[in-house]
Amino acid sequence: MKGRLTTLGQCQMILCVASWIVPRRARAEWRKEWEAELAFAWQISQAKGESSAATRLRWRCCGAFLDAAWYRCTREDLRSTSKHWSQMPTFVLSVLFGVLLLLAGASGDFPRLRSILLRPPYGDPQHIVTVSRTGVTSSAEWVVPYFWVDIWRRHEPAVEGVAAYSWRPRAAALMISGRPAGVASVRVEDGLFQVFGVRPLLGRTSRPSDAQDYRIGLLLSYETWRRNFFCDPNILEKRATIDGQEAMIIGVLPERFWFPSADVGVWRLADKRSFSREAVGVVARLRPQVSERWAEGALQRDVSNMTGEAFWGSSLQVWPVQERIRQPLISYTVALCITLLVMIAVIWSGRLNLYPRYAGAVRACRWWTFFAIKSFLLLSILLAAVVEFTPEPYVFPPGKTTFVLESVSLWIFSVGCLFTLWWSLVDQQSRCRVCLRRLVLPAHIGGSGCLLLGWVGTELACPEGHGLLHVSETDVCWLDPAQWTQLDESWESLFSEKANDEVLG
Amino acid sequence: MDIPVKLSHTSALILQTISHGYRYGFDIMDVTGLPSGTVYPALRRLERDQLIQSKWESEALAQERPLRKYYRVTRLGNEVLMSAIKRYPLLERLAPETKTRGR
Repeated sequence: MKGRLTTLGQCQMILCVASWIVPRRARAEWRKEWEAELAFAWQISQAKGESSAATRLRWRCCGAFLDAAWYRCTREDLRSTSKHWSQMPTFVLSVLFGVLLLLAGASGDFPRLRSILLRPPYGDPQHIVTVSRTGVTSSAEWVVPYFWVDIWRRHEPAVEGVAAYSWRPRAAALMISGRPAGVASVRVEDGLFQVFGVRPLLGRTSRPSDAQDYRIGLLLSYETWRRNFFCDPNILEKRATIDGQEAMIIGVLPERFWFPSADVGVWRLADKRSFSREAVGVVARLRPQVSERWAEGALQRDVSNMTGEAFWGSSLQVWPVQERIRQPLISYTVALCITLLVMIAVIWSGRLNLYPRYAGAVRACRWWTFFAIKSFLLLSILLAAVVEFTPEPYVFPPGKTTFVLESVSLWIFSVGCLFTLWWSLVDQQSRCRVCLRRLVLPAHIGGSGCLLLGWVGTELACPEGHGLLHVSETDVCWLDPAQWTQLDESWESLFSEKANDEVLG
Repeated sequence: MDIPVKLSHTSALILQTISHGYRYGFDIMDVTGLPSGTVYPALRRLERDQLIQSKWESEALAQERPLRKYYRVTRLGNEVLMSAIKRYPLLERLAPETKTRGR
């Protein structure tokens, strides 16, 4: 028996674990009853010398879990536990974290957000640029005629490669071996993947003989390949159609690759003829040592020399893709900063009585940490929701001005910031300054008709008895905040769990 | 008189066992053969419905071991038991022998 627990010790340990299920107020008595029965049964079995008593006692003690669960799961206890838990600061944080996880699940791990926040999955992204017109107010004017791309490809030494794409993704019906998939597609020139310096995970990008093939060459995104075709390694040889046209899958792109938005599931290779009459988006890879400013002048000169285009009221803009991708993030950050400035002004003015200055540093740190985590989770939920679920056709914005003017998500985020931070402040104000629980027991004090003779308002109390919050019914001035009164320990007996239950029914 | 509480067969058996003088949780298990996970929750429900009453035994009775909690049937419990016996005629056949002493 040396070094090992006796049967009695094992049974006592089982009872100890089970006792944690029992509500605190009944735990001691519950454990006392079980341990007394156990001790008695153990004495009797020892006296009789029963060999099977050890197993029987262990089984009986395991039944204590059911007994403990009965205590915990009575309707009254559940109601009381849920009522108290909803007042706790952990409740708010758990709910917010749960919502964030729910959004992650619904969006498939935030693909749009990741494409904005992470480094672009392109080879040497610092040399990759987009070429667009400036001085436009609508994203439809941002694109350039395709024949300009042809000019740059033939005559411009500043660029290593240039490729066109139809910048707005469209929904397409893809069918591979009878298995359908609805995906967003974008038409691209075959040189686009060379410009991005990306190699396919499976298959190839394009080759000269594709021009003679009547079928459309398709490259799948990793997500489309995984979700719709279960990472089928033989997908390259299967029959496919896209929007009813014959197609062939020539490759699958790496997991993190996206362009021009994270939603795109298939890229259709298109030749010059299909682009010739269109206005297109353009990406180019600049030669090392060539600056964006220099490239802008060179490209504009090429177009002016070859076509006589005067660029009245507009010019060409060469914009690094890294900056372009970060553009939404910069806009969201600016919106957030403006909201934070408004909130700081409100807090500074003293309108919201958030935290008593005389309280200790540890409590102050706890108080502001809770506020920071809560606000951060709220803003994360808002950002994830607007980026992932607003019907934005692009993550790759057409232009700085057009993004601000046309992006629904930016405006929803700006208004949402104001509401979420305001709610966070109001929730913080209605919490105990010591234990952070939500204040309860609202009591109306005074009469509205006697405003001049006394204080009129609502008094809220901490469930643990740490203090009272007096919220005035009618502010004398805008800067008249709610008042917090700290109570000493002698008040705690009045706010015990039992007393609380009696008052709250 | 209408008896408002209707007992399950197991609860009625436990109530009858207590009325026959087997007053401790582990004793009830020994007599009825029911597991602890059934007996104790049933005892809690019977006590909540005021059909039985629990008390801690006296120190004189316990001598040097921990005090045990015992259960006894209340007047309402006896009435409910009578109506349960009418409802479950086989219950009387399952009744244990009446214990002569309180322990």
